[in-house]
Amino acid sequence: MAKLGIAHVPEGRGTFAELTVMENLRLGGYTRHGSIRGDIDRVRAYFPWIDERADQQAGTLSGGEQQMLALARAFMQRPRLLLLDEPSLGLAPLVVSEIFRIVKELNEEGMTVLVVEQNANIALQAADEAYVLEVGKVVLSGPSAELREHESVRKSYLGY
Amino acid sequence: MVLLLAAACVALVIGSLVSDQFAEQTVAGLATGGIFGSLALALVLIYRATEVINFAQGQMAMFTTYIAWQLMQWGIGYWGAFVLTLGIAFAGGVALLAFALGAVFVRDWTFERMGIKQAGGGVIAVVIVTIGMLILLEGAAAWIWSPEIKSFPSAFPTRPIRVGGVAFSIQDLGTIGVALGSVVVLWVFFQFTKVGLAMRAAALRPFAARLVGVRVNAMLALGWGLAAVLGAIAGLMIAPTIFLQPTMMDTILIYAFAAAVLGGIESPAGAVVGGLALGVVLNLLGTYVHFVTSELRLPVALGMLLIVLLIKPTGLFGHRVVRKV
Repeated sequence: MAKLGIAHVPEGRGTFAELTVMENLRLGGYTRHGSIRGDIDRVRAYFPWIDERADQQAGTLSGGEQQMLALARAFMQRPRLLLLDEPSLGLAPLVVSEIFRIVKELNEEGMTVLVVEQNANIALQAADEAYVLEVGKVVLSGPSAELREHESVRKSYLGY
Repeated sequence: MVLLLAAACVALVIGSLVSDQFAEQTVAGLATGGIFGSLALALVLIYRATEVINFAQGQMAMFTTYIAWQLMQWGIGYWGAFVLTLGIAFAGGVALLAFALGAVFVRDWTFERMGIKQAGGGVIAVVIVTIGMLILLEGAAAWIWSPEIKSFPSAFPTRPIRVGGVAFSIQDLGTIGVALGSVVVLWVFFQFTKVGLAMRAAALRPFAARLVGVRVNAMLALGWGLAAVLGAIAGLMIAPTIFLQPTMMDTILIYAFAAAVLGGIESPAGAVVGGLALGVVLNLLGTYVHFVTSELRLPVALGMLLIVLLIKPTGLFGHRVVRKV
């Protein structure tokens, strides 16, 4: 999976809690050949806090930081497709919008991102295409701008 | 904990400066302790990788030492045989894991065919397989090479070296050097190389490790291989003093278990320190406390183990593990 260029950030993040932040990043680059220093520098540019926490155990980070670390680790894989499962789970609204801002940025740089998210509002803002699932079936799909205007989506998920 | 260790080290150094005999016995204790330590480290490696206590560890070491002896009988020089044996030990460790996993797989498959449903038991089944391997290897060694005691050459000269009136055996110093050297090499490997890091990741979080592309089973096999190599080193180092025989590692392995549990079964550093401490304490007790004869060494070791477990059940270096159920 990882070798095919698919990075997956599972619900609960899949962080190596016992290892340090830097070791988590090094593991992200595991399938890559050659130097990963350049990518580590780029990750640092996205998440400046990583610099001072590089040797801290990942398990001692806050929930938001762990989610960002999981994103950073997935980024280290240089994936063609990034799968995110409930990235907003258990995080403060401010952190959630920060994470989606970065996801959007990665997306604009050409990475395909598939997000499963129960926070419809923020998901529809970030995504280009959206699908609404109901009991395992796709009941609605289309450009997210259109879906945002859709009568039943507004009522059931956005609350206005 | 660190303070206590530092105090113990200071006491040993002062004692060694005051008394020549104390210095000699301390170094000799460190040498046997180094062997306990490397075997204990092998147990910890396997435990961390697969949560299995490998009861065959001692017999694996014994068997590989016999292989080294055989190679030397065929006219290969000591160091050539040493390196070859380590290679063979590595392959053997990998094969043993494959064998154990294979045995469990065949059992599950047969049970399924017979329509018997049973839940889990994977780890305990592998532990039982290692006990089977223990008996098998001991029998095989006696069968191939006869159970007679054989002498085994030492890598280091047996003559003593004098430092300020104290006679140290070069063999002891060499053993300490090799044991500590292999520990340092392992530490560097786990800390700074990509594969070492992947091995730790695979042992800690197999699922997450798979997600980043680590081949978990290959890493576990590598862990077993490295443990076998450590065991082989321990066997090669101790064989000159206790001689080569199929049962040579039986008691050593019990000391190694004691050392591993003493240090905390999950802690590599603990295993090494536990081994060294056990070696030194046993040797000093044997020298200065007269009723502790060589027959009483094992009970004393197990007594130490009991006391540590009563005071600190997780071992000297272990910390409590909280598992979510």
